[in-house]
Amino acid sequence: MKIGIVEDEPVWREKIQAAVEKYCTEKDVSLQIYSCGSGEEFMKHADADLLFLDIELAEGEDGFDIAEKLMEAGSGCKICFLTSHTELARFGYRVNAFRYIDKKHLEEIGEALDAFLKTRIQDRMICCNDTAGICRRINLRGLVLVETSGRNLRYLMADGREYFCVGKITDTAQSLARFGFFQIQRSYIINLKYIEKADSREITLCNGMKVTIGRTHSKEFKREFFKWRMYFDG
Amino acid sequence: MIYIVDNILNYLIYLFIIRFGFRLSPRKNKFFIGASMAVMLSAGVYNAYSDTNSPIVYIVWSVLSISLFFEDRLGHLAVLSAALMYFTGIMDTFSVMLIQVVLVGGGISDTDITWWMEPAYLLSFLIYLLIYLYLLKKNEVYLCDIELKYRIAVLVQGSIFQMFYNFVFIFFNENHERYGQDAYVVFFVSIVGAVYSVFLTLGFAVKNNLMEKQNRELQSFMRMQKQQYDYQLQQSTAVRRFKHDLANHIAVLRELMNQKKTEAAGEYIDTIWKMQAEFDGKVHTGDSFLDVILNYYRYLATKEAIEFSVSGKLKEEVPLEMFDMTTLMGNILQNAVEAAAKASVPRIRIELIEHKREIFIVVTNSTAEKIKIGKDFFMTSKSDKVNHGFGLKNVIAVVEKYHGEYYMESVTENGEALFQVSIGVPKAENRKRL
Repeated sequence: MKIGIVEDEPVWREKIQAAVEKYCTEKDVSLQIYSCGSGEEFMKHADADLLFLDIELAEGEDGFDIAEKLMEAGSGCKICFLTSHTELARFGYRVNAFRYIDKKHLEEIGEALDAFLKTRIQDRMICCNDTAGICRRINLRGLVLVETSGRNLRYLMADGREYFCVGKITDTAQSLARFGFFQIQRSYIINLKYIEKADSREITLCNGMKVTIGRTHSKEFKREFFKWRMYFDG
Repeated sequence: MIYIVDNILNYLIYLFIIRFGFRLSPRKNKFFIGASMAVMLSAGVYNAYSDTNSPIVYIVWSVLSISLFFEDRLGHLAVLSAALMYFTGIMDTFSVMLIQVVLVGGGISDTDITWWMEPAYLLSFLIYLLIYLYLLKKNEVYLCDIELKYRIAVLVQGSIFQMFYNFVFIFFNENHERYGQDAYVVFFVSIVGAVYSVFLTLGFAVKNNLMEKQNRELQSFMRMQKQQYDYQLQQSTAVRRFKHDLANHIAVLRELMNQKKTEAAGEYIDTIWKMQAEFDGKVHTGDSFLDVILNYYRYLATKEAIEFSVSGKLKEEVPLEMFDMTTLMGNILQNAVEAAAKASVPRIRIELIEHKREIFIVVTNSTAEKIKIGKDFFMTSKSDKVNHGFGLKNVIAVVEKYHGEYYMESVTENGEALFQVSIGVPKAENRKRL
């Protein structure tokens, strides 16, 4: 995980860095930290998964402006603003950031990192044996759905590629359940991330495909989709 | 055979009224359901065998089979089934008379059961179905919610009409040939009128229930507003007092500076700083009205030694009107404070999550024991059961008003029993599209 820290006061910079390092050591998460004192310096690299960004920086720099520039540049990095109590009242929360962390409560960093790692739950590869017995590595982030196809399973990717692998749909549904996938009916497992629209009877995926929700799965689907939207949706 | 069909149709009507009108659930043990059906069928067989329809047998099988079928207190089931049997009997009489008069053209004066009893049951069922769809389900007020006095009123009203109709029917039988078409019209209008008046009484009871509900909501809103007002008043008095002392504080500081006691002055400034920080609300969510509510409950929780934490900030205000916001958060937090106070590790955690289309609010509180979520979900442990237990119903009403979603669940986290309410509300611009 790549973490950026932009904070003009060295004392706070070190404290934040220490909190992040402590978390990653405890949770055994690999870490790369890029820590700097100004937004300008960070923008030169602008490479981080999660950025801890001070709102009021030295030399008139504004954390909100930096965040907006990053978004305009199409950066996918999530931002945790660092605030002090007095700043909150003055600035409000102009940007919908991942978190606003009060510098007086740096213990909130642990919670923010927990939540951030949750959003990356689909950043992993799985291995499936195709019909010829060759191991296919499938990136869960790009997997739209799994459906039964005769006696095999068809894995459909967001870019249109498809793999035919051996396996049982119920076993696959069980192993994918904790990564944001849901078996919506007897022959379909859906990546909740790719749902564009859902009502009580059917869902519409990003690619326009419609899938009917199985009657027995409907209640549980509603709940799982709610949780997904709440904790993982960006 | 006719006796058995008769029993089956009556049985189905009872089940419909109790299941949907009184919202009782069938027993989980299938043995009881089987026994209930067996009682009903054997009564039918007995009637067919002895070719009588004895009222005693009728009462016994109705009460027994209903009590066997549903999950509830036995006393309640017995009274309910007896009353229901009596009432459906009255309604069936109306339907029978109507069919006799309109379809058969009157003149059938014997009381033997014949095949035209069956369409009469269907007609009665149609009336119950209409009452259910257009009165109960539409207003989401069911027979079990209606006050007892109204239920008794409907029963009494029915029996009065029955007595009256027995006379009318005899009169009609004897005189319809003399009065011709008019007699039919008058009879038809008055029997429909009787059913309509029962419908009206029920409608009145439902309306009364809705008004009371609204009244309770308003009262709870007013109570919460009053509490928050008191809290704000207390805060503002403290601020005024502090402002009043400010001149003294500055005088002390000036004196300390004159004497060059900078260290003492520094300490003094720290003390004053802490005092002023106390006035400033601790919670800043980005929604000023939500802040007022959260700061107030934070104050209440702190008084009860409950740890109170809020995480997450909002760029936009929660798209709820002030009244609804108070009802929603006030009820959830009131329950949370009361439940957490009884827990061994009292704490309340509030998470605010804002996404592009929705805003989520999750309130988690520790509880003394795991809360059972079943049909008694809205039951309260408070002693005043009349006015309590509605809080969560009000919460649900608000969430549904804004096309939101809610989940309430008991969870165990590291061995600690927690109660969690999660709410998702679409942002204003998204709701317009719904």
